[in-house]
Amino acid sequence: MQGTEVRTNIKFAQTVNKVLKAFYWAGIAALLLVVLLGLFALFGPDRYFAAERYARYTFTFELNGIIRYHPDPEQVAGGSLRGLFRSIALGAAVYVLFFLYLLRRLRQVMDTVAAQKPFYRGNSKRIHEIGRAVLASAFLIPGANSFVAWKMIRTFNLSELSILYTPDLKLAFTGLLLLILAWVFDYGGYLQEEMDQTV
Amino acid sequence: MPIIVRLDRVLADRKMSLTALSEAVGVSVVNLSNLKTGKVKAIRFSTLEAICRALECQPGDLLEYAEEEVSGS
Repeated sequence: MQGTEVRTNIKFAQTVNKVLKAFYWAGIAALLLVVLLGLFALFGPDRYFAAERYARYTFTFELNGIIRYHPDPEQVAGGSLRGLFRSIALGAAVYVLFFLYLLRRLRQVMDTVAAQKPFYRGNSKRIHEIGRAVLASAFLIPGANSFVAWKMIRTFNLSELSILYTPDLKLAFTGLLLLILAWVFDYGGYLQEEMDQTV
Repeated sequence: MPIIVRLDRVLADRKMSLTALSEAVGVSVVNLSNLKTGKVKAIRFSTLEAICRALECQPGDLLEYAEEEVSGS
């Protein structure tokens, strides 16, 4: 590889690292907001969750990013949206924690790339962990989505709708691909180590 | 490892410093020091050739095989 090309790649890795860092701290801020929302949903005064309070707003929720539903707040079971807010906080927490974990691991990998040590032995372990997390998320994220949708259906008494839980196959295949990549990287790391210890 | 590098002995015989050898063979002092102390896993034929040429010796003068003691015996 040419010297200028290597320098360009390092510069690119450093830029990506900065972007990941910004996303990571944005994720931390989002987690704080989610925790606050969760605490508010648990211990906040009842008047903030009364359905009448939201009657003038238009509620919408999406199903698979295709169907947008506008339920009527006056249909709310028990007249309180507390349970719905709680489930939204829980679902959002699953998302935010998953992305924070991925970003943390990715940042660690990119740090070694920027330091010109992409075949550092620890990277294969990190990619393996990312792969496992993505594979788990293929089941967890649709689960979180289904849970929030189920809570909305119950809250708004939408008896004509029911929940269908389907694992995300795209995420599952991405996770498997990352696991395979981690094994390849592990061998690459071994070869790099052998080369580094050869005079 | 049962392969022992005798670079220090050959260097002493030739009254040559590690720095001088480094300049003669084009390998860094750090790498030669690692080789001398047995901290490397392998040596390239090209490096071995350059060291033998600089020290006017045979590979056998630099490398020695010693039977490894089996623990517990």
